[in-house]
Amino acid sequence: MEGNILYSSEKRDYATLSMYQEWRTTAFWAKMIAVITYVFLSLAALAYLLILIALYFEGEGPGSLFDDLAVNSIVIYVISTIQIPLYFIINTFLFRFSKSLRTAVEGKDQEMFENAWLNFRNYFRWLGILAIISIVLSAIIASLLYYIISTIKIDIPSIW
Amino acid sequence: MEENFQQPIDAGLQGESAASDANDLRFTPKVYRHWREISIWGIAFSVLSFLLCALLLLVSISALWLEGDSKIFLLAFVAGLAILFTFSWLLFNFSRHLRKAVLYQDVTAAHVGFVNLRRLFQFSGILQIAAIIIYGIVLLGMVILLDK
Repeated sequence: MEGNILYSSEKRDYATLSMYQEWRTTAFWAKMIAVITYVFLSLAALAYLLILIALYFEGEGPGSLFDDLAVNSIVIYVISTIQIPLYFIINTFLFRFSKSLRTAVEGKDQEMFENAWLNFRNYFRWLGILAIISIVLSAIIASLLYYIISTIKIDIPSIW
Repeated sequence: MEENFQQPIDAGLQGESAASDANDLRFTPKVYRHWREISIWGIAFSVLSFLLCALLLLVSISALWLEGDSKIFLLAFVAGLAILFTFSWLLFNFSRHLRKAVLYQDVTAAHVGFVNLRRLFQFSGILQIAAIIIYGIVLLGMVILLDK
């Protein structure tokens, strides 16, 4: 029973025809998303590399590109070094999921079917771990900032 | 002839593949194990997304009291909120039904879950295409502006 709509709960261990149709469409869109993400990640990696090359040839010293960069920009580049390959790996799971699901549905291949869900599980697992790390890091940074702000005593001159 | 209103809503759909083909894809214990973990992560992601939605809603409400260009920000926040909510809702429905399918080995629940998964991917794909088009227009606009 689902709300006030009556569903028949059927216990069966094989896929229905409508499921095949859903999986076919899911595989198509998942592949499209994975390919678009690959293109965007490649563009990001290219931009990142170009900036690194520019930094290398500019050298250090006053007036150089490196000198003009703020500290937070350097932090962003360091984070990008980890993030881009990580997202590439995560996206590979989505791509493999779409490919395996498509093959499984087309050829009714049980091994590929299991492989598809394994990849989708891995995709969710990596995303989940990344989300946990991001939340923990954000909490640490926020508490550190709060600690720094609360310990620094700023003398605000009274205007009255 | 008296109509039977007590029969399930999807009763007519059951016959489409009631007979199992020897080649049909099977839901083995391995598949159920994967689905179980997927549903757990999916529920966790959707709950996080719902929390983010609530945060965005708070920011949108507070933007109402701001002056100047706040209306543009408000519009952007509301659009972001609508997209995020739809995404979270589809993910939540997929995970919830998949979990039900795993717990009770219920094929109907699994089917409803897969319908939601398909919608989730379609929605994300259309959003990505729309984002590419918008980027393209913005880039084109910038090139035209730089030329002038």
